[in-house]
Order: sequence, then structure tokens, then C-alpha cells
Amino acid sequence: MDILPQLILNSIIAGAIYTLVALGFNFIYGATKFFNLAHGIMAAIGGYAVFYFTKTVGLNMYVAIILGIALAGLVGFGLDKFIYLPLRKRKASNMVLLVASLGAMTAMQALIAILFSSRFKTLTENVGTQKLFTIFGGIITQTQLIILLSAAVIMASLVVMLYKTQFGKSVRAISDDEEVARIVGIHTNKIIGTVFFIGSAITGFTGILIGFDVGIEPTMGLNLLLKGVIASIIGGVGNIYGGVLGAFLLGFLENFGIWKLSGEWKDAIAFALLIVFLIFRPRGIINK
Amino acid sequence: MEYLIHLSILFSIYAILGVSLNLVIGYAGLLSVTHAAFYGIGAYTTAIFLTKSNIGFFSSLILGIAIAVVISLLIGIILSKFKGDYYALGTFGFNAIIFAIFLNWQNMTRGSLGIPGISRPELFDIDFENNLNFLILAVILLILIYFSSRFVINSSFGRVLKAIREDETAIAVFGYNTLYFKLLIFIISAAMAAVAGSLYASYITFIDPSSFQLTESMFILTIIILGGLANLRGSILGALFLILLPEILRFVGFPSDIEAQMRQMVYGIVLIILMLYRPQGFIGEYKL
Amino acid sequence: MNKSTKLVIGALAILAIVAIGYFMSINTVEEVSVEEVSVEPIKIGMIAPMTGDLAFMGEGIRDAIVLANENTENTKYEYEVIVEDDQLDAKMSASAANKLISVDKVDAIITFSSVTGNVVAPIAEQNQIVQLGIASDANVAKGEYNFIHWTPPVEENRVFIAELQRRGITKLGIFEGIAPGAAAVIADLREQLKETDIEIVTDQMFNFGETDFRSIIAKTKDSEAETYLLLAFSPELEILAQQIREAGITTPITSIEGFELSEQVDLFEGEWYVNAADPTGDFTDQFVAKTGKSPTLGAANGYDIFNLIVAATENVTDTTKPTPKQIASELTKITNFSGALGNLNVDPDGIIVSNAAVRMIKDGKPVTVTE
Repeated sequence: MDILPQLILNSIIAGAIYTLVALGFNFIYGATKFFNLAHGIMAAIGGYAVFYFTKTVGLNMYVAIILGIALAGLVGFGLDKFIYLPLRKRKASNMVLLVASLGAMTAMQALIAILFSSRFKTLTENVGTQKLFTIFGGIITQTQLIILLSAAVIMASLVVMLYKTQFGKSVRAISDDEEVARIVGIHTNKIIGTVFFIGSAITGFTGILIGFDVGIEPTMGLNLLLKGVIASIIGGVGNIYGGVLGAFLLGFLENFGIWKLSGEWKDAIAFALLIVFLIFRPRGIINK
Repeated sequence: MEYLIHLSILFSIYAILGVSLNLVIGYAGLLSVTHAAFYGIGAYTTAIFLTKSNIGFFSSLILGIAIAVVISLLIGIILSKFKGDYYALGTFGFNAIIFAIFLNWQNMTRGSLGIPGISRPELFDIDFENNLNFLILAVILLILIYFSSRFVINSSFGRVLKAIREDETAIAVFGYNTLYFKLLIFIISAAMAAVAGSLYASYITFIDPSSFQLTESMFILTIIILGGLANLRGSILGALFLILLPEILRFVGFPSDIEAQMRQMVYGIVLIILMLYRPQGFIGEYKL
Repeated sequence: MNKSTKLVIGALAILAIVAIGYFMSINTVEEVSVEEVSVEPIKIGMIAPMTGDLAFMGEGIRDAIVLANENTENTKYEYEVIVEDDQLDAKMSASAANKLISVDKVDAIITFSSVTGNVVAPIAEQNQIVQLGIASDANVAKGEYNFIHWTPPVEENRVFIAELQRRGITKLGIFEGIAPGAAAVIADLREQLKETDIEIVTDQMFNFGETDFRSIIAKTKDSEAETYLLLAFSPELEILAQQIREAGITTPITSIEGFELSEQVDLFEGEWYVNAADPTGDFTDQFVAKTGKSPTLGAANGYDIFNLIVAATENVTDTTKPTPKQIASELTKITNFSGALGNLNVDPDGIIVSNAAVRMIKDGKPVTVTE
């Protein structure tokens, strides 16, 4: 049947996007263990930065992308340094951090809307002239292909970093137990700061890719974050492989689900999946 | 003056919501983000009965409480297996499901069209179209709920709750059926939220599902974190602050085309600052 | 209470007092600062989402209303617009309405969306203030003081079906975004189609805020639809259209009220659709000249509503300042009014009726295809 290859391809594309968000979220959550509502905003920051640099300043697209990623990373780093870290130092509860992150998200979203207006924008110059590729009977655009490759590359890089570098070892130690890590002599605050930078940069890059694929708007972060979180939970929170697994599972279930049901149930499927996992396997597919 | 009366009515409704949620989160330590669902159940019950039958406001109030009790009992039992962050996610999922029911059970709720034409209460010959009278009703209910909550907290039941919050295993060892306590406070809190919902429906005379989403639960959560967990007076202060702040900001002279976004930014920044400098809330006594 | 608690409570109290003082003073200041004009200005309030997901729509409506105000000249009275944000949240709509009525003392309120309209309508009726809603729900127009301005689905579908028949189309595919407006249009369309031999071969639904339509598009690949009706608005509309093309589907697409409002009209080059609009395109040109962007959903309605209020108010005679009751009364008498949405007539239920027409994007601009 003609539709099957396309559905599979669509699921993989969706899974790749969710993977990117889950990777960033999981990476940070593993080290800090609190639910950062402002995480999604990094996607918007990345996307809008590229928009600004290419359309207003007129820079080359690749330069703009690198700047966008860096900016997103910096903002994440800044958030940690000026808000989360001081709060952690005062032993603030997770809920306080949650409210603070809510404040940060609200403020930054408003700032982006002030600077760029709330209208939906696309990053591509010409609409509808993307290069198309046919794979096994399904159609995929050039941007979507890049998304797939990026997800794979970033996941591989993160895994290498976590397991083969000194930095990665420190991050894992902090994920296991922050106090012990500190006692052992790891500079936890500096490492966490870097973790925020990397995680936010990844999400910023995701926002840029989405900007090329469909477009950007100030509120794009929240929905992305939600899906990324659901993917992380069903795959296993704080676990890199878990996030990826959960993301693809989510992508497949959503797309195959609406094949049989109607399109409006897409979000409901994601939530139902979340609840099923919470009830029967709260630690996710990959149990730690 | 009318404007102040209106704000006072809103404040009363949210004070009820804040106080009731504080019972669950502040005193029992259960991070519930599904409060808006019970708020909505009270609102829809009143709305449906007032528009489709001869049942009056006060009877619908009781019915709303009854339905909220049943549903919270069911949800509470399922949730009892979850711990910590997973409990929060589970409640979040239930909020989403109940919202989906409000949205899709078109025969009962008219879905996204909402239910207009809800009448004001009828009691003796009091004209509740006069907002001042309605305000008095709302305040009376608030006082009743506030003092009931005080009573619960200061009783031996309340002491057990606090013990559960501090160390559930320890208190269980002493032979207390912790499930029963957690369930009971969850139900009590849901019943109070339903009261707020009935008030809301009759006051605004129109309800639709969008008022009972996750964002609403987050708003109520913010009220009690700002006001201070485990302090009922704090919740009242928190409600006052969060209802008044956006309104006060209406009068600050921002340049008109970015006015609303600037207000949002200020709102977000205020949240951040409050968390940074007073993470235990205005009058908090408990830090998770 | 310890010291810092007292401090916080004190700060709050001061904030509250300052706020009360501020807006009390605003009232008096306004009366003083009105210059030599012996007549108070007519104040028109506007409640729409200015922040949040739909902020771009609120901004568009505000820009359109400001544009209308700028174009208003040689009138007996002065017109002033006060904008309030409600984030499309019912309680904020109620607060905004109360503030506009008791603090700003507006004479009329323009609202956007059926939710806001339903919340504000009873408040307006009770306070005897005119309310005009950019909303599709007729309930918003209930009462002497309430009106709505939205092309009725019945009218749009009538024109739509006529065009389908004219082109000999018998198999129709639909992509609909779930929203109260769309549901009303589809329900009526199905009713009217029963009288014809046109068949709906596929009907795909999606949620507001969706950005990935690829799978529902894949589901339609084998359908025999001769044209696809896209019932959606920006940004879903553009993304949907783009993904349909990317999927290799070359079937023509059409819409009811969507294409003109898009910033990416090239996507719809050569496609016909149904819209209510002024054939001269005057409003659109002015809007683009003023803001650099194309009008959003409801902007043209806002423009018309402002002008209707002015027209009605100017018609009131024998008084130094028309009351809302008089303005409402004059509004119901308006016929054949030339607006951005074409020829307008106000019916006794408070519904401002506009006519639909078949249009097409030619060379990036909407033109009316005359029958």
C-alpha cells in the first residue's frame, strides 16, 4: 500500500524532531533534576536569531545558524548562572525553580514578541521550492533529511561525550548524586553551567531546523517542550538512549494512530501514552 | 467601583482555589497540577443544570461537589501509586484528559462553543445580578472554606498529613493508613475547587473549556507558591497579588503597541525576582 | 508575623493604594485634559488577545481599528480607542470589560472571538454599552446592545457550492482545523450539499496549533478529490498548503476566507476561493501600507466595525453626546454600508450581514471573479 512508506517516513521525521528536544531536555534534567519550563524558549531564540541575522542583518545563512546556536546556548547558560544557580545555592525547592522558570519563559516569550511581533514567520526565502527526495516510495524534503541526520549526529556526539570524556564522566557523576560529586572534587556549578549551554544550544538548533521546515512563532517552545518531555518520560528520564527511544515511539504512535483515527486525536494519543507509561512503567522503557 | 467589585469577586474565587490546593500541596506534600479540572467540574455542573433544568444554583453547587468527590476519589486511587515528580505528571495527564472531555463531549458541554446564558443564583428575593450581592455571597463561601480548612489543618487529621509530608514511610510504620489520609485531603480539596467553579460559572454567565486547562492549574499553583506553602493566609495574599498585578499593570503607561507584551514581561520578571528573593513565598513555612 | 512578612504585606498594601490612586486620578485627568472641545470624545474600547498564541490576530485588529480612526475626518465627534489585552482568557475578558466600562467609561466595546464575545455581551447589556463582536456565534449578538460582524456560513457556502457546480466538481476533499468557526461552516456545508450531487470524499481534521500534516495528507493520496477545501487560517493554512505540495499532490486547493490573509500568497497563485471582501481591495492596500504586513483574520471586520460605530453615532441628532442606546439604535438602521467586507447590512438580530464572493489570487493579488 502506497501510504505505508510515507507514514513510516513521517514517523521517523517526527521522531527525529522529538529526539532533538528530548536530547537537550534530558541532558539538562539529568544534571539538575528540575523541570525547566523555559527550556522550550531556546528553540524560539535559535529560530528568531537566524531570522534576524539573515533577513535584517543580511549575514550568510551558515554564519547566522552558528550565531543562533551560540545565542541559544548563551541564554541557557545565563539563565542558569543568574537565576537557577543562586536558587540552588539557597536550597530552593523544585517548585520554586519551576515558578522561576515559568517567569523566565513568560518574560522571554514576551520579549521575542515585542521584537519580532507574534506573527508566524518562515526562515526559507522561497516558499514551496524545497528539494524533494523519494526514499522507498515516501517523499522527504531536504530540510527534513537534515533533521534526521542532525538527530543522529547529535545523539552520537552526546553519547561519545558522556562516556568517553572527562567532562562527560563528571556530568554522569552529577546526575547520579550531586552532593557526592561535589565532595569528590567536581566543580558541579561550572559543569552544570556548561550542561545548560550545550542542552540549550541543541534546542536552539532544533528551533532553527523547524524554522526551515515549517516556520517560527514566539510560542513555539512550549508545545515542543511538552512533546520532548513526554518522549523522555516514556523512554526513561535522564537517559540519553531512553529519550531517543521514547521520541521515536511517540512519533510512530502519533502518525500511525491518526492513520486509523482522525487527525484531531494526535495530542490525545501523546497524553494517553504518557498516562499509560506513568501507571505501568513510570521509569520508562529503559529502567535505570 | 464596579471594577473593584469585579476584581474582588475574582479574588474570592481564586482565594478559594488557592486555599484548597494548598491543603494538598502545602500540607500533604502532594504535587497536584490538576486542580483546574475540579474547578471545571464544578463550573460545568452548575452551567449545565442552570441552563438545562430547573435546578437552582445552590443545588447545582451541591451536585458539583458530589461529582468532584466521585472523580477525585477515582483519580486519587489511581494516583496513589505514584511518587514525587511522577505524581505531578500523572495529575497533569488527568487534567488533560478531563479538559478533553469538556472539549469533546459535545452533547453535554457544547464543546468549544461553551455554555452561555448561565443565570445568577436565586435566594429569597436577593438580586444577584447586582454584583455587590454576588460579592457578598462569594466572600461568605470563601470564609466558610477558609475556616473549614483551618479546622482540618489544626486537627489531628492535619497533623498526620504534615507527618506524611515530612516522612511518609515513618508514619506508615506507626500503623497509619497513609493512603486514606492522602485520598481524603485530595477529595476535600477537589470539593472546594468545585465550589469555586460554580461561583465562577454563575458570575461570568458563560464558560468554555479553555478556562480549565493546564495553564489554569499552573496559575493556581503559582498563587500558593507565591503566597507560601502550608500557610492559608499566604494563599489568600497570593491570590490577591496575582489577580491584582496584571490589572495594575493595565494602568502603567507602556507604549501602546507593545503594551500587552511589556506587561507580560514585567509579570514574568516579577515572578523571577520573587522566587530569587523570597523563595518561601510571602508567608511560607514549608520548603519541600 | 515576623519583620519581613510585615514588609511584604506593607509593600503590597502600598502597591494597592498606588494603583487605586492612579486610576482614580486618570478619571479626573481625562476630563481636565480634553482641550477646547466642548464635547466629550466617543470612547471605543477593544478587547482582544494582545499576548499569547493569538497575539498576532489581536495586533492585526488593533492596527485595522487605528487605521480606521486615522481615516475618520470631518466628524461631529471625536473618537478615541482604548485597547485592552485579554489573552483570550474568559476571566481577563471580564476584567477588561469591567475596567473599560467603569474606569474608562467607554461607549462601545469591540471584541474578538466567540469566547470573549459571550463573556462581554451580558456585561455590555447590563451596563447599556454597545458591544460589537468579531465572532461567528450568533449568541454574542443577543440583546439590544450586542452585534456581531462575521460573514454567515450560510452565505459563504451558498457561493462556494455555486462555484463548485459551475466548475463541474463533484468530489470534494476537506481539511478542517478544529475551531468553533470551522465547525459551523462544515455543518452548514454538509446540509447544503445534500441538495446537490457533490460528494465529500475525505474529511481530515486537525487541531489548532498543529504543524505536521504529513500523515493526514498521506491518507488522502488515494482519494479521488477533484479539489481540496482548506478550512484553516495562518499559520496552519500555509504549512498545510506547503506540505500538500511537497507530498506531490497537484490537486487544486480552495478555501473559505483563508488565502487573502496570508503573507505567502504565492502558495495560492491561480487558486479560487470564497471570501467576503471589498472588491476594490482598498482596505488591504491601506493596511499593508501602514503596517507592512497583510491583514490578519478579523482585521477587516474590526475596520468595518469602527466605521459603523462612527456612522451610527454621526447619525444621532439633537444631542451633545449620543448615548450608547442611541448608537445601538442607529446601528440597526444601517443598510448598504460600504465596508472592507463588501456591502453590509445590519439585521434586526444585531447581525451585520456581508456578502460573499468568489475570488482568485492573480499575480499575487486577490481579484474578484465576477459571475
